[in-house]
Amino acid sequence: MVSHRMIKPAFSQLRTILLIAAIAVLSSCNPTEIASTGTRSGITSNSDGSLDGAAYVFKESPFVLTSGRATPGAFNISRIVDGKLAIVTENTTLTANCSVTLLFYGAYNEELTDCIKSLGQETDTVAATRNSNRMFIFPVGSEEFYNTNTLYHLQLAKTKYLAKLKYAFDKIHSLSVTIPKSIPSYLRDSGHFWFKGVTSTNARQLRNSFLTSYSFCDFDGNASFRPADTALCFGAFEEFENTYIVQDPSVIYHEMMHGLVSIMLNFRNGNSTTSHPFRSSLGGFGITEASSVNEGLADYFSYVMTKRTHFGEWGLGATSNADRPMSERDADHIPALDTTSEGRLSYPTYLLYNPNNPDKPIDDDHLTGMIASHYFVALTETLKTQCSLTSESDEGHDTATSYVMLLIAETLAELGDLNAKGVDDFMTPFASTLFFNNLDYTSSYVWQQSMNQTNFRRFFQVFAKNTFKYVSSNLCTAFDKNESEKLLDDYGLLLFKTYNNNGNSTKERTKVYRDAVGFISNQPLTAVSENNRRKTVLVSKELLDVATAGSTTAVNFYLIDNRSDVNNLLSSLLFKGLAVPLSTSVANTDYNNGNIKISPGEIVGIIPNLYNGSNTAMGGVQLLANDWDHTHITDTATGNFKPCAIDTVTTTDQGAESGLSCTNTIPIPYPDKDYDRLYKRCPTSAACTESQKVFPSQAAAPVCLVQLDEGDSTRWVSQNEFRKKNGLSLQDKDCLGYSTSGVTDPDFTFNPHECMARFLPGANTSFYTRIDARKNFYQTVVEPSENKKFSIGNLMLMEVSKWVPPGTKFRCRMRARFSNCSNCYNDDTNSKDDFIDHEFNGHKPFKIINFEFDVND
Amino acid sequence: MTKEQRSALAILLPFTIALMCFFYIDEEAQELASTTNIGPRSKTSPETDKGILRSPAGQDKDLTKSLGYHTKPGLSHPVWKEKLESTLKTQGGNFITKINIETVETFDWKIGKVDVRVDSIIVKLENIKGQRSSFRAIVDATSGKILQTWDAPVVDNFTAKSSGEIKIDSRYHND
Repeated sequence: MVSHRMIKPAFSQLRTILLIAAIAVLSSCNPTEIASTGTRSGITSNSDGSLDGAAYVFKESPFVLTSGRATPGAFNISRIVDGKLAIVTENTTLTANCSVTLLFYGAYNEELTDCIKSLGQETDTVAATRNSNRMFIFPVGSEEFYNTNTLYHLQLAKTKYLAKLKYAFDKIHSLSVTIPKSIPSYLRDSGHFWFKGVTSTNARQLRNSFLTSYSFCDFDGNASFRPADTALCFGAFEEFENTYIVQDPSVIYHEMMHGLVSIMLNFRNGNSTTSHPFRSSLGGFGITEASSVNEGLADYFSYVMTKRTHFGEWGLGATSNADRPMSERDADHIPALDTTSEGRLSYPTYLLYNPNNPDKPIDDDHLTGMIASHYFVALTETLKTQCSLTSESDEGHDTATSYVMLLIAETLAELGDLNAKGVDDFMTPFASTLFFNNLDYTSSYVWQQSMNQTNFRRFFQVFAKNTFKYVSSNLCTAFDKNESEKLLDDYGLLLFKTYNNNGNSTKERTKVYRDAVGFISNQPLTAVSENNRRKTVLVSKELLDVATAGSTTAVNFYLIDNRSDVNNLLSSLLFKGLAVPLSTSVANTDYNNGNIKISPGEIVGIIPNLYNGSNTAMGGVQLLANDWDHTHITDTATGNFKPCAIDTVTTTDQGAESGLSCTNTIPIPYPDKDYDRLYKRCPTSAACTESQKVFPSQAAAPVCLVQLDEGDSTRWVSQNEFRKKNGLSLQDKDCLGYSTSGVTDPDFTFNPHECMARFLPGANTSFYTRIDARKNFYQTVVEPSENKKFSIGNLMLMEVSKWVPPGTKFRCRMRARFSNCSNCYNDDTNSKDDFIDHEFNGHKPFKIINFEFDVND
Repeated sequence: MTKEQRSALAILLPFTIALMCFFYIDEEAQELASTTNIGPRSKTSPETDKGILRSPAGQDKDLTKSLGYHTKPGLSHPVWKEKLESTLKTQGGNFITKINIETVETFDWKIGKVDVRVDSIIVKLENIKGQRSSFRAIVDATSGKILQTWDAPVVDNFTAKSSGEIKIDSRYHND
């Protein structure tokens, strides 16, 4: 760097001379021809302004445009640049505008200026300006050239999305007001049709009100969508020179769809005046079925854009052998797959299937998402033929994808509803305090992400309901309910018994939509025709358990307590967006001793090894270790409780309580209708002193109980009761979670009932893609895989206080469910209607998984 | 154009194109290209971009003020900020090299049935490889304790050849 600056004067003179020589040589050349190698546009000027904002772009990836002959690292991008100029943007910089007109008792137009900005590196802040000829013609291969191309494809994707949204909005809202709808009529007013918040509270939801794209992020072979700063990030491939992810438009469309999923999922989270403080997401920090659906939707959007049933031929395939098909007809698939009912890529059989290496199971949400993308493509193709669309000029692609995108938008709008109302009054949210989605306004995020998180069952149940409501009953009656159910079943996705479409409120089954919005008609519960369930097999939750320890392949729980491993896990989780409140003064990784036992002071990773005792594979197993209603609080001064007797493991002899407080619905509702927590608070709304504060009489409780030895007997009690009765001089300040912020006063969320051992908030749920029949998870996924590693989503993190006496026994009552479960979502009462939301605060939808451990020194 | 002229142009053209590209590069871009191995960067004219809201890394706080976001007194640098940074550094270890906490707004929220004053924040991170991440959170406005996080990034790793990141201890299965 120093020598570079020292030679600058001489360097500048040389540059001037060379520049004059170059200008002389090129004085008769037209700059527009430089970009277009091998082709000539014949355009010499833009004097009339008709080419304002034009550029030379590549319309497809090198792989597609060379029929697979291009090789990463040895390919000149100029070979595929189209010879004709294309208009990239009407703006003077590499930005795009959004415009949509929505019909709701009149046409309402909304224009957003600069709704997309295309930048290069993440340090860039200003979009490139067009040249003096008002075009965006930059040297081929330059950063601006790629930024221009990225914007061109983002423009195409944005325009397609807004057209599909308009179609969906106009169609849905042209139907009778008696039909409940999820895409809100006030979507234009809220601005939530894009990354835009309500004007007065913009900062709450969306910082920028625009999407920023970085074509040159410092990610090797990675791309990402970051909702927190609404940014798309495209990396490069270190292994191949001059090979960038943005060279593949299908990947740009895929990433764009992650952003659009975020938009559609949050359609209902704002209105003309206010917005919910959180935003929904489809997936979290690890692999889940929500993230799989997200990936499947992103692949499908590539199909919507390109009409090709294959994704990422260049960006994934040529570089990494990781491209993905979206149809069973694809040559990349194994011969067993075809487009017959028997040959579809079905759930859960193909959850671990990798078409590029079919002999090795792989646990990856992009691959599990193929089941969703194949279904969406198959549905689109079926609609083309069933709805007589093939005579259209594009063989029905635009219309059929509009149908499917309508269903996707309506489904996501319902699933992501954090305002929890589900439906609307005319043009505004209804005023009633009833809720129909995700429990209620304050707990909706927990319900959406954990308690009743989106899995294949939930997504496709809502999707099927919308197919029945909008396609089979309106847009295309030829594609009837049976056709719809059969196609879902071909993919093993007929995972539900009813459409759950009767609009029960989240806390009271007898309250329905009509009680909140008078003009919505009563919605009868629609049952799935059992004759259509031929491939989808549902399994009882009772057949799921933790593996029995003993044999070489049957460990019941794997522990990770090696210091560096846990430190790596913690930092990795933070980078993935999960900050966990550590109790560093009472537990930290300095205590971790790597003896694969749980010792005082450690932070340990726990991977429960679940076992499937049935004859059918289980898919989408979720395990929850967050607070739930499984105790009877017996003393509001201390918050001490008795565990409810809800399984055969924790019995009344061991201190559990059966009967009224834990099981009855009247007069004490079970489970609690509100998701309250076991934190102290003032007994009334009036201010009070610390000593006047009490615990609630009903609340969800931490999962970990501790065994209290009372001489003749032992009882499972709360950790608070244990520390008082067991003679431990453990003060509040020595408890886990007392203060995780370094301040001297307790946090208001201090819970003495998790004083000694607790699962870390946020890291207290885990997920297992598939467990084969008569096998445990390790045998199904890890043992046969190439690198024999678990995924981060399989893991929970636990803190153990350094003050816990060695030998102390804990029992943690986790809850598990899975997607193809016959009795996790409904019981035989109520006409097989789904459990209502507050019931997911209890045990009925779950199998209790008891995790027991002794603390060892 | 004669055959000789065409031949001369064919020889000169690649050379001159390379020269033109060379002159597009300013000093800053040359430095950038040398460190990031991307193609040459063309010069952009400094036309005003009135719509740019994004700030240079580390300057978000000042930019927030200039844009007139709804901020309350003291929110731009609340008392808990250093403590939260320290907490995040503890979790992130040496892997996380930069932490930027951007405050958004203060409001009242219920955790369970307990009312609490919370600050909404955006956390931006950079790791030792220079990669960036971000998420949102609400924190207790008094203590800075993180109460809820959301808006985690969706990351597509296209080069992953196999699943999993966690190798279990060899003592489990005598691997």
